[in-house]
Amino acid sequence: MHSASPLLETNNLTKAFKGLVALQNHSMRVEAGELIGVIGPNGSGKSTLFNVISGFLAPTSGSVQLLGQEIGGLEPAKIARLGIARTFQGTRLFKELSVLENVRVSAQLREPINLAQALFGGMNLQARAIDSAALELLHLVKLEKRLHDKAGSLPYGDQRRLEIARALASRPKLLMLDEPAAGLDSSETQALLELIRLIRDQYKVAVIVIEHDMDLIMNLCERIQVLAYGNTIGQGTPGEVQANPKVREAYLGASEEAAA
Amino acid sequence: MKYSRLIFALGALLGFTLLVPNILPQYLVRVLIVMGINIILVASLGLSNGFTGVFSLGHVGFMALGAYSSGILTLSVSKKLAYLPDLPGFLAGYNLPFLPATILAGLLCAAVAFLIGIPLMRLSGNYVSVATLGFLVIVNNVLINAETLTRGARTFTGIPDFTTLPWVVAWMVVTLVVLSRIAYSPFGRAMRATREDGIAAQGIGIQVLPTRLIAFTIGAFFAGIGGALYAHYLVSFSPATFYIAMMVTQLTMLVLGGQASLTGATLGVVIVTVLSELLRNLERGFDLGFVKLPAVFGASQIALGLIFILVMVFRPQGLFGDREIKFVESKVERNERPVPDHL
Repeated sequence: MHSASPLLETNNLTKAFKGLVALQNHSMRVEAGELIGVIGPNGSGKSTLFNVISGFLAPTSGSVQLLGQEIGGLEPAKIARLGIARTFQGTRLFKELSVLENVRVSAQLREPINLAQALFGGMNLQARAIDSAALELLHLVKLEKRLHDKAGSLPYGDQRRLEIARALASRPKLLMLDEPAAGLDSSETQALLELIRLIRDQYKVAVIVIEHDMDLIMNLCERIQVLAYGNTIGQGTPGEVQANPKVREAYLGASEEAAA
Repeated sequence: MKYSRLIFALGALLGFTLLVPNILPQYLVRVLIVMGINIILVASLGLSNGFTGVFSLGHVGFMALGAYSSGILTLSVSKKLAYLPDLPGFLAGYNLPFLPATILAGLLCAAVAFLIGIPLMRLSGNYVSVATLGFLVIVNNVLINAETLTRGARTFTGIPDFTTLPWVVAWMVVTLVVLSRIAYSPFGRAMRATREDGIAAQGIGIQVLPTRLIAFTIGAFFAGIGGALYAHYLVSFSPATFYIAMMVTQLTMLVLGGQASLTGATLGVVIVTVLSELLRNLERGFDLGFVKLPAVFGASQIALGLIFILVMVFRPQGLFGDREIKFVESKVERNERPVPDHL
């Protein structure tokens, strides 16, 4: 039945740091255009999972495949070029560059030029394509009025949305958001939820979200995976996950930690 | 065309300089030559230090390599016999004209930068600075000890005095045009991104090492060109000419003007040159007619030092920061085009 490879597939993926197993035998399957949530108490391996998929950490064992191609252990830049984009916990913007430049530098990934073009001209077409892609995305995240402001000068919520626009500008097939709602108030979180849905619908991109905000995860995601101490302790639809006794136990047991 | 105004302005400047030696006193011409060479050196230093965030202390090392290699390549065969009798055969038997020797000097420096950059450009922050300083120390010691090529610590002399103001201005124009095209292309944008946040840059597909390597290599090419021009201006020099004092001067010019700005680098050189020439003349004492100021030797250096301190206190990003005068920066950068309204 499944002749085509899924967009992303991990199999028995394990990451250990000097004996500490941060992620163990992780398996997940993400199809094109899906909205997936990954939850779990602090230290459960969520960020490790993102770092292994995006190449910032090499897996200890197991496989990560993008459309059937093994990408485990490739350089982050290669993986980004293959179509996985991500945001970082607490944002990592190019603070001294303008809002527009932050997005252009990502959009130019799909409009490559060579040194000769840079020196002798002939990059006008690319420059125009980069600009229109960047402007479209900045409109989408409602930052079109702040194109020339330095990214570091934006309010926190705006920085979050700028980082999402920057990730999207590389035209990924899979977008991974690491705690996109942290530090946002409830109306901003609601707007973020709508933005992520819009992005999925408009750009046909699959999205994996790590989040502590249960409202966001339960309302947004079609499927959820729950991690605790590196192990996958449950997965399914939001309803199934909420009914899972193991998940309840992990969350109640770690409630103090999660609240902090 | 984006650059037509820049090229026109610099071209007019070049034409003007062809006349200048006949109009201006010799002293001023010499000041302008050194200033032009320093613009080449400092602007190219800015590509790695300012735009890419690789704060190199080794630029003068490339300059030294350029000076010596161009000197050896252009020295007449009879002078080679007199000064460098043990030169290997393939270098001893012929000599090159100015332009090919200069270009070869630049290419040699670029090749060296590429090779040492492969390990060095993996380092960041202070580590890359110390490592490039190590490169400068090594170059200095190699030049002192490679006596068959360089006459060692003794003065290397007999080099033809090819460097004229038009040559310097022509190379300066080439340097600024090439650097501005790179700095304000997608390559330059990637350089700035790796400077700001290397991890985020990788996350959007930018390979940090090649990006830094391109900046370092291009910078070294122009350092070699600047070194060759300086060699044919000085005519005789020793390894001590190209060492810490010169490195500090160039860094000061760059930091003062603004590291991530070609305008800043250029004006940093102009300001430091003009100030130090003015102050040097003032400290000899002067007569205002009604009052006569005595000579206070050393005052110029103290005044310069004070000016640097004041700039760093009040404008730590340098005079220009990352701004450019309009015609250097391409239209795409400061794009004022309205957002398409169908969005």
